Amino acid sequence: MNFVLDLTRNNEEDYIQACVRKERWAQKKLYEEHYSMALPVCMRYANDENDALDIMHEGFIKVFRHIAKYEPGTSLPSWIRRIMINTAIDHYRKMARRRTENLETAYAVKSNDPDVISQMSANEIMKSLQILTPAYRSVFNLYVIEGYAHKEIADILGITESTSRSNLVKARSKLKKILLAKNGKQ
Amino acid sequence: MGNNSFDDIIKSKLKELENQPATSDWEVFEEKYGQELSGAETTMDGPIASGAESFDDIIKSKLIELENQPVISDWDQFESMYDEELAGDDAVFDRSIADKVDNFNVAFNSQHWVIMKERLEREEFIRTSVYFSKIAEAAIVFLLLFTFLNIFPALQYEYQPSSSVIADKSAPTEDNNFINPAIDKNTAPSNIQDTQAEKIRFNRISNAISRESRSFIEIESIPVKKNPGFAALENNPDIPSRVPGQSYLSEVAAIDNVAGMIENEKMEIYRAKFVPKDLNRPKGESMISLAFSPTVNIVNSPANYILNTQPYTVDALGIEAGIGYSFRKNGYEIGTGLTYARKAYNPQIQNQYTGRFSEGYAVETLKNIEFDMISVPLFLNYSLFSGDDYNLYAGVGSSVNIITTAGYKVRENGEEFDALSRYRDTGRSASREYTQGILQGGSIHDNLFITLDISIGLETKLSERLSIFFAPTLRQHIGIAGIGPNKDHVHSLGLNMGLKKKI
Repeated sequence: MNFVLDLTRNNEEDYIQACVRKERWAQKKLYEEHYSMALPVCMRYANDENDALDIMHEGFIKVFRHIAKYEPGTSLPSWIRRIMINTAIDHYRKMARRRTENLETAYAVKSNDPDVISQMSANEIMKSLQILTPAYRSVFNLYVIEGYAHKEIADILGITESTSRSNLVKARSKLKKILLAKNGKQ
Repeated sequence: MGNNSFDDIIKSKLKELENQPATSDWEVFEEKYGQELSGAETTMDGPIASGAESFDDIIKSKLIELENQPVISDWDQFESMYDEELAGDDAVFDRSIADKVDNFNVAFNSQHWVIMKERLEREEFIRTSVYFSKIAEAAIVFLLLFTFLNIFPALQYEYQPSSSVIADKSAPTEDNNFINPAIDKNTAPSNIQDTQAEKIRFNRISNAISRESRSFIEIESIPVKKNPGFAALENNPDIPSRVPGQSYLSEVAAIDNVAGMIENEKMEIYRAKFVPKDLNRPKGESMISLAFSPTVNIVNSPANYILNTQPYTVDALGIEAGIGYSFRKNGYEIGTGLTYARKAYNPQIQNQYTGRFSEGYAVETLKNIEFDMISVPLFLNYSLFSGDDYNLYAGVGSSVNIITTAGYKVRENGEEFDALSRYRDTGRSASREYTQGILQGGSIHDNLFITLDISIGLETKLSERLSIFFAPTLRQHIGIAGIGPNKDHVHSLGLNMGLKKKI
């Protein structure tokens, strides 16, 4: 009897080709393999997990729609990650509500105690990030996590460079405040 | 060394300091100022400047030096300091957050794939609906245009001039431009009315145009009044033909010629007719047809990387039957219809383990796939050769095919059963996606595919209104999406034969 549960040939190129043919099993495999990378990326830009899931699914639809444009040999996770970030930014643009905050209030918090952060779980940090306004959150993510320069962030978000700097300072300060509050020190 | 001796040393040193001759700050400044002055004097040409002047010059030169120094704005200084401040204060914070966030992992949640799958299906359904609606829109536009061209009475008539008038129309003149409705006898240009003959011609043309709404033109008698003086000269036998009065005679002859030309043109216009288009063009024919076709289905299964199977091709017999409606005109025949097709084939043998640890495992094999489907073809046939009793044509078209019901025979441990009903009844999850037909609750995405149809047909008349046709037809599955659990591409080659009846 010929048993054929051999998955060794199931390499990336094969299932990408199957994704191009819109075969569901391949789409599921791609989704499953990159889920753990994609969802945290989206969660950083989202208000909550449902929002993140929405962004991620929108991102995956774009991935499946444009999978034929993916160049084999380049990093698939990086390509998907970039799509997720762009989708999240698009989502931010749709949902963005300009909010102003008192800069002095933002500067008022002064704590860089790394112990406060180290004591917290990644999940708590993520939830704290999600409390930030979309504008602050986007700038903070792009600058701190993705490593973009302010000029690039300004181009991506359609804001001025100084607004990007300002939002980063405010975001950082607000995040510190949130983390301190969570840690019971404020 | 004791504490006292240390104190003594310190004390003596301090005293030495006190005993040194004190130099006041002013003296130090004065000395330096003197040096500056002497330096300035050596650099200046001409007589040594006085004290006040040289002081001013020094101050001036110093200010110029200051101006020439590279300017660093306060903001730039502040910004760089601020950046350093940020880097120093917040870099640790940023790094801590980034590390934490990078380490954030989410375990795969299979429920999320269910949501994703539904969303994908919805997306594909919307896209398919958009395609269909666009096709429907195009069809509606075509039908409206077709209807407009065929039933609107204003377009049913055309003007058919006689051959000589057609020849004249190639170079429009006042004479043959008689279909121009802009010409009005009451507003005729003065240059047209210059001569009697042209006036007569103009009146005739205008009258003809005024009756254009009728389907014929009456001959109108147009009196041509000759100058009685000329007539007298013409009839006078005393005047020879080649005498000084010749010029008058020539004028008389010219007028007669013009009158003759007018009579000829009247006849030309009389021959011109406004006739209905349909009188001299072939009418279209509407037909209904009933067809049956045995088919050979060629099934291409792509490679399956989960089951590790290679691409596979299998042939199987099938049938098609349907009704159609077509419209034929000028050698073209456009048509549509509704066709039922049944396709059954044996896929590549693929054994799979299925079941649960608690229940035990079984070896499952998909033995047979059956599809019942409905197709809506749209085709265009072009007559290659035709005679009184036959018509040889080539056709091209496309069909939208929808699987209505699907059946999958599965063998498991020697027992054969229908996969859909078995897994539905037992609630057991299937080892693969056995897609259901549209009437069984399946999605449009899984059950819809398009074929490109090419045919060559021969039609022979049985009677005035009835004919029989035979058309070998190839239906090529197009698009990347396949059908069934193996995502098969099902092509077919059939001999389409049936009867056509004019209606």
